[in-house]
Amino acid sequence: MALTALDYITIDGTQIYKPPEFAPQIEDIYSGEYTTCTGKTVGDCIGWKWSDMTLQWDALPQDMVDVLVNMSGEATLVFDSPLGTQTEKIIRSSAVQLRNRNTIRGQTIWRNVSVAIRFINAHPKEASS
Amino acid sequence: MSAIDIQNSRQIRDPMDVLITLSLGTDIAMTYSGYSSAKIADGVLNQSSWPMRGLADLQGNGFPLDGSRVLYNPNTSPSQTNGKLGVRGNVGQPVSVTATGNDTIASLAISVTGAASVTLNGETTEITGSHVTLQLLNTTAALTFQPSSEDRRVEIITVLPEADFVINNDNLIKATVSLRSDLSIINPTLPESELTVEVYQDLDVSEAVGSIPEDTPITYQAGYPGDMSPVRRFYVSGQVTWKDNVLSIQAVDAVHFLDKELAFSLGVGTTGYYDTSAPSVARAQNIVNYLVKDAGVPGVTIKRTLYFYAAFYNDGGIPPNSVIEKGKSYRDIIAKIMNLFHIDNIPTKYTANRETDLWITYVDAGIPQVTNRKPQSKWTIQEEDAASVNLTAERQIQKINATVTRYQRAVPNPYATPMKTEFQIGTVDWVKGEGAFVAFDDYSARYLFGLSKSDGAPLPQSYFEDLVSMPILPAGQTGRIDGLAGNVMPQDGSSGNGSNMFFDNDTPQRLYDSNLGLEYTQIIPWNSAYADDWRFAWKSQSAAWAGLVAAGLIGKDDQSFTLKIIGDKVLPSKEEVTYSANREGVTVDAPDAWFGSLLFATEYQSGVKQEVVEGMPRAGYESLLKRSNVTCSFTWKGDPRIQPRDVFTFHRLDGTDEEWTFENITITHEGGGTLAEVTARKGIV
Repeated sequence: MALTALDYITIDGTQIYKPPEFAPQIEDIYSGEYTTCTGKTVGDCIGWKWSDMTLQWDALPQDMVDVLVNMSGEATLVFDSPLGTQTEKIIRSSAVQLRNRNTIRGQTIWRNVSVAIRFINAHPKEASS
Repeated sequence: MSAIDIQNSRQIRDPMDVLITLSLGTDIAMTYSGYSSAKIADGVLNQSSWPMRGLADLQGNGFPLDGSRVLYNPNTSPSQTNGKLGVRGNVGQPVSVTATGNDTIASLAISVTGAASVTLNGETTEITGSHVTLQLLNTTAALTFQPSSEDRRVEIITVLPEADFVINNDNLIKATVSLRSDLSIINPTLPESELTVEVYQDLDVSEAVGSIPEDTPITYQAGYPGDMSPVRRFYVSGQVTWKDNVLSIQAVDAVHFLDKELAFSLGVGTTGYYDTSAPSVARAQNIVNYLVKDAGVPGVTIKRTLYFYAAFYNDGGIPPNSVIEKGKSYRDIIAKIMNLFHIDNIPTKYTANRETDLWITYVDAGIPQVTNRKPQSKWTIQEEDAASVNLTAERQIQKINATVTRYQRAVPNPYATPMKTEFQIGTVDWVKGEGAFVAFDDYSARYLFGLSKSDGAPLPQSYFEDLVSMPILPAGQTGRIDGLAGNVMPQDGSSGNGSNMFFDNDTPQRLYDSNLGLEYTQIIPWNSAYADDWRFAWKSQSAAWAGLVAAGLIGKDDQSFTLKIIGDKVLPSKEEVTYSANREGVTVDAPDAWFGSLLFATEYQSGVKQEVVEGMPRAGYESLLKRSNVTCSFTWKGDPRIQPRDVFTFHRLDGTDEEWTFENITITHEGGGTLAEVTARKGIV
């Protein structure tokens, strides 16, 4: 079965197989937070961002691993989500974990690849009142 | 319910809009037209410091029933006091306005609420907060605003050439607004409120900010679209700096304008008028309001006419006679009045005085106003919404010791017929060619001077009111007023000399002596039934003369005269006072106070016969004893509408409601969130 665009994510312009468990979560950003004398957390919700996550692949070819390894500083991640196609700035927050190196028909395949990323874009909250 | 109240009732609020404007000024004059699509408009879009008039408007969530909103009245003229309408559209409908400058405008700064976007020359710009800047490079801009929702109306506040540096959520890093008062019991100060701002600015403006002068106005507002707090005015207080793409601004409120020495002395005063038609007014109110205005605080006007037929002298046009406070700053005096004079004696003309309580409120950041309306609770804070609630009880005060100086001024009785005026204080021989020099005590009040011949025959009496600079001589100094006795010439052409100085009709006249630059004004018939019963107030044309030239009277006439010193006198008396409360506690010494009263008397030398006592604020030490010794501090969500000295209901965890008064509120806007640190004193201060 041929792969479609939905089967890929794009990092710095290069398509990479979408991790099988790829499910980015959204989290709210709070500021002016404090805990009241009754233990309640009070604050201002100033926006939202995509949660930090770990990308994991069972296998990834060398050229795609190179993209991960070469991420230095800020990178751009494009992916599809229920909100539509998202273009987000990310940074790599861990080293690329590579467990096994296999060669299949002359092509290098790395097994059990993982890398942690952090989304650095914050999105303003739409006024709700 | 207002948007701020709705948000504050939630555990998690939406981010608050912050709008800080540094007014750098521009010469471009703006006119506005083409807003006929508006629902209501006064078209005042060029006054950024005028507040928007809060209207009883049913758009959105409606309006709060706290008296802050008024019905629309097309006859109310826009002003700083009345507020303005700006241009307000129909609910859910776009609204247009055309702004025209008399010169090319590089960019326009627009403040607007309830708008989602604005279109200029076919290009639409989204409005995320309440402010937007548009490039123009033209003299005219036709703007069309789209409402943010179907139940909102577009309300255009200002459309101005971008001479102002605007700080909002888009570029604000951190803003700290510290609104301060001092509610301590014994000797509180009048503290300055402060605004510190850090702004992201990626253009190098280090050179431009170096030329921003001190006292450049900077305004602060926060809230939610359609429900912003009142504009708080601050003034740049130090060097505006730009470093590492961060612009740092520090500003203080108008209290710093009070930080200078009184331009005049505060004293027991006189105007020469016994204006029985003057309304009974609270005089501490007048004094504070007057001092605030006299200190040059921008935009502050006195709401009442000053009447000072008794009490403290606060005209400003004429220096006072009996000095109570001298060499102090406006700020010190106001702080003292605010703390001590919580009680006013409101005079009734012939009857006993009645006392009324005075209270202090703030009308803008740091600008105090005295009112005789006891503050009511304006806000409610749930303790369960607060953090780090710390209650502190200071040492309880059982007894207060102080010294009170009572300045009692005796004046002629204007109600008696014939009027008794001659409180003869003394006589001095006045010989031709020689000076008649009289030294007076510093506390002396107005003196009137009458001349009589040395043989005792009376000259027509002339009363020279407010001769503070003429015959009141520092020891060892001399001076002279030539024209007084011999050459005073009425300008109406009639002649006069020292022995014939009189006025023969009731028409106010004007005397002028070109040699001395003395200008005599306000010749007032004291009592038209008595031809020799005149007085006149004068002032000097030369400011240098007034109050500076020590003077005596040099006789120029052929005859010698006796100078009769006639007049009012202030009798200061010191009194040790002790006020105590029926409880255990410490004894403290409170600042000394002064107050006074005015006696209309029939005689002076044989003892003052009191007929009417006019009142003035008196030292209310007992009000200090009533002040609670319990204070508290806590962290809270923050509400930018709150001012120090506002009263709030503190709903405690045990379900009880207590009244407290805000002392300090420090609101911090940082990282998009808002937080407040609050200190307060129990009770209504």
